[in-house]
Amino acid sequence: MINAQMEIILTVCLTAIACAIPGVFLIFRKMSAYSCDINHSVLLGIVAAFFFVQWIDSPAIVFSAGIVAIVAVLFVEKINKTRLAKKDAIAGIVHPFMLSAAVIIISMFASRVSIDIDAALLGELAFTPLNRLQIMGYNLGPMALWQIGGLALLNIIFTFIFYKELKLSIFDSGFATTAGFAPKWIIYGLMVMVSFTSVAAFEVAGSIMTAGFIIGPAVIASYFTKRFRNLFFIAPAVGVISCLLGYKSAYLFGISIAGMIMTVMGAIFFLTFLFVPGMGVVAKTINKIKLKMEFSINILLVHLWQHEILGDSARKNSVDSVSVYLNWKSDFTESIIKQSMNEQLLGLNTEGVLFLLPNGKIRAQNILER
Amino acid sequence: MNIKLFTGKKQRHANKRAVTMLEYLRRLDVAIHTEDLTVAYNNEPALWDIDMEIPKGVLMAIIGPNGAGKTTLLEAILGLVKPNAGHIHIFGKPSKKQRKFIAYLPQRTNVDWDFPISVLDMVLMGTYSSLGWIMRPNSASRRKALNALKMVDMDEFKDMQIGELSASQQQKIFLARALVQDADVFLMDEPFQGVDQATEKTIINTLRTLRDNGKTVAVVHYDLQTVTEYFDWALLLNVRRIAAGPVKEVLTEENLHLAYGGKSSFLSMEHTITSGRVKNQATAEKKDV
Amino acid sequence: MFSIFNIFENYTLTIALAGAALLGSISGITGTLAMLKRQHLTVNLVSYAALPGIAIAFILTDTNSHLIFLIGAMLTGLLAIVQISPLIRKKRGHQDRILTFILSVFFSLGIVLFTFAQSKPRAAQAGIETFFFGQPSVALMSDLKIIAVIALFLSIPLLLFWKELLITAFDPVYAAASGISAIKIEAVFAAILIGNVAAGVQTIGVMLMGAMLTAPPLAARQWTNNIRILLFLSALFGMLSGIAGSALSYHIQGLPTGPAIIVCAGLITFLSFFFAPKRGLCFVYFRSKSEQASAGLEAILEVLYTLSHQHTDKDFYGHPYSVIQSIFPLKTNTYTILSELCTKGLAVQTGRNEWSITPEGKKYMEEDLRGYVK
Repeated sequence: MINAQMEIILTVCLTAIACAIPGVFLIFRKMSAYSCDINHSVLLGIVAAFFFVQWIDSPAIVFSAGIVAIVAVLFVEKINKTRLAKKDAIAGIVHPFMLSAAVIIISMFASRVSIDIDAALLGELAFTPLNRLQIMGYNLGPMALWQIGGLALLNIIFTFIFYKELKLSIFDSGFATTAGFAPKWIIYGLMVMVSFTSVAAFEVAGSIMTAGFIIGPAVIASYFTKRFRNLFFIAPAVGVISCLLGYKSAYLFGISIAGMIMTVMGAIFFLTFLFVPGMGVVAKTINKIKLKMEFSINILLVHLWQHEILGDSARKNSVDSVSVYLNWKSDFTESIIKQSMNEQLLGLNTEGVLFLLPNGKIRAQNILER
Repeated sequence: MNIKLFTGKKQRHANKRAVTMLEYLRRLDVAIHTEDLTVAYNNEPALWDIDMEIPKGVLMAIIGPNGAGKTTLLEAILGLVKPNAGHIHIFGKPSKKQRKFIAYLPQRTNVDWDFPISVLDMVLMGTYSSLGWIMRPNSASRRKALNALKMVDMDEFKDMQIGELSASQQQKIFLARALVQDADVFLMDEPFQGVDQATEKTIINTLRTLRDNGKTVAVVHYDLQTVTEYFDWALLLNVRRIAAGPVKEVLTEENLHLAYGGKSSFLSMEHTITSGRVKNQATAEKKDV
Repeated sequence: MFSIFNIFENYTLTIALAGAALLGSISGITGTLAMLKRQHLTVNLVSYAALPGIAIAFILTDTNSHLIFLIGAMLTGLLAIVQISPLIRKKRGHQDRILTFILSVFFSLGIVLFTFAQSKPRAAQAGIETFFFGQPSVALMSDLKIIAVIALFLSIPLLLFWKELLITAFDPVYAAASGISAIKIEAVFAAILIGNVAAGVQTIGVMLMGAMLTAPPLAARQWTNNIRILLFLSALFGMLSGIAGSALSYHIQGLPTGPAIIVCAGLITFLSFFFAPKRGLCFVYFRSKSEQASAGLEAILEVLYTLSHQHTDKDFYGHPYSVIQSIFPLKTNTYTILSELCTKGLAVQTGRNEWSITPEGKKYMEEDLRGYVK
């Protein structure tokens, strides 16, 4: 029998996995906003279901919430088609409207709808071990664990089965249509997946943080690989790592678990963004500087060569005036000249005129040949 | 390696020399002059070592294949993109402070036509830069705007929302917006793209009127067929300057082959360099006469 | 029963209404700018980013001061914008997802800080819920003063830089070429946005402030194509939402202000979508019932055809646009249809503003009619 802590950790890790997988699809084609929007509408669905089923853990809740979320998304699509407004503007009012309606209903009908808004928004992760699934008298573990675990499995299976349809619908919907798939329906299927996952994750992570669970791992993973397929392995991994680190710190400080996990994920993103070799900011900046230097050397070499041919090198290639002709700053010119000398591309003669060395001449010739 | 490159006095002396050298090129009858202009994106050259001048009062076409750097040239002149090397002079002075003399008509693509402004509103935008802060467009600006609209035959539409216009009409009001700016130089990027016959006539007539009034007009143009008919002057580019001068001189078979043909058609490097310079000087001498 | 007089007799309520009205108006204006610049995500980001700011302010000062919270919200809003500003200029493709992610991180950070604060014994109490959805209609004069001051401050850059903001929103390339510094204008907009959001999050809440800026302009857009009227309507709708929502929140026990206001704003928006003249979906529906899509083309061709019967002597008698349009019922798109007819060779432009049917067009109509008459 695993203890309560382990159950919580397991639940939250499964949540991360369940969310990360549809998230990989969602980060493309400007669909990332759905993660946030759907979460807003989900609360209304929960509330609506509450009128009929008084018990928060009924699967009916999950179902109805998911339906409402999808309806909201479809509504936004419909209005978007009329071209009266842009999609993100429409979503910017429809989803908050539903959220507001949900809150109003909760306030007004507090007796019939006893939802703790705080818990809904923040998740009640700490309580998951208390809510157990009982089948035939056997205590099988927390309800949330089974729910989200089941969903994680569903997501994996769905993705596996419809992998190529999903991939095609997102990246080349035109081709998908001609190939006989209906990309619109496939994307709706994806939305269904995200909706139900959001609802189940709601219980664990609460509102906006579920959105983070969904797209965060995928965003981070996108810096580590350019192959689509690998994202499905890296993203859940990132999610799980964030969970483990986040849970540890949350436990130590006694703060919101989901919040801490997201904060950790944010830190991971920050570090990744800066330091990933190749795609990180640091690497890119270094590369940019290197290329700029190389290019500037090319400019200098060609300039020198042209004026050597034209015969006015005494005037134009003079070490003092070359910066004026090229319109470069003095310090910059100096560094370029120094670097060129290091690479044995040019030299400085006694009259203060720069001249090309054989390597430099070859390089200048190659450049102009392109 | 001990290189003391830039001691104070020597630097100033060298600068002065260089400046006087450039001086002879900065004649005041040249609207725009570039020297050694090199622009690269991500260190891939879009323009390489361009020496060119746009004389005052010409109607000039900037032509070349796709990716030749034509739009980049306009952007560099306007300061929208920073050159990797070289100088740009507008009316004899460094381009930075002279931008007020230039009106720009960019490609039509990036505008949101659902924007809630009328035709008149949009043309009035051209007057904003001369108004300064806080000031609202006054009656003088309105008059200017209406005149510009009249010049392009669009004054009847002044209260229509811009999205209700056809593509050709939209191009015309773009032109009107540039016209209100009281500029001396007009730079346009493919103004004839996607317009119908009648509109094309209207536009070219407007450009001719501008030129006849002493303005300088430089147009990135994609249609080689109409260059001779519409323009007096041409600049043929393909990352490097191929040729510049009166249209007939530029549109030779050899030049076109150089610009639009393959690599193998390049003459030897040295010839290209020297012929470019010689042509430049020949052109310069011609204008002196 | 709410009679008008009852509403104003109550001092607290009046203050709340005034504050919400002011907030709504200024949000309408800022929101219009955001809508024109299509920067809704940024609006949401600044809004959610206020949460950690308030939390930090709370932790550091251990007070309940709304002013302090305001400053905190502004600082983190600024931080958020600074973080993403390099993104805005770079790859537009990845921008959205990174923005959304950063939004969730800021929010989570806020929650972490709040739960951290609540776990320690503190003199002040600030329930985190009130920042999600705004405080339940308790309004102090000091709050109103704060909102008024901010509104005043915001109107300065709005007035000063309105022209530049407009041009930059409409055509950034042209704006840059006109010598307008893109960075400066972005900074001005950011300042306005941060100020506006900070002023509103304590009333409307972090989760809904974005909608407060999004909804009124969206609604207003359906009623007009004129930017001045758009601004006015936007402010008006914002104000109405504020007043209605505030009043509603006052009369319903325990209902936070934010959702009430947003529900009102949302209703106004949906009503605008359906019932605004010209663009409203109901009007579009009725219009399309009386005409089919391609009927536009046929209708104008028919007009030209009928007109050509008045001049059977000339082959191409050009009819002025005004005449054509007066006969043709659907007032928009006439030009596009005319050009399309020209491309199809069924009509031709004979003069500055005149069109005529071509022989091919005549033939087309006659073949069509022949089918009809049968």
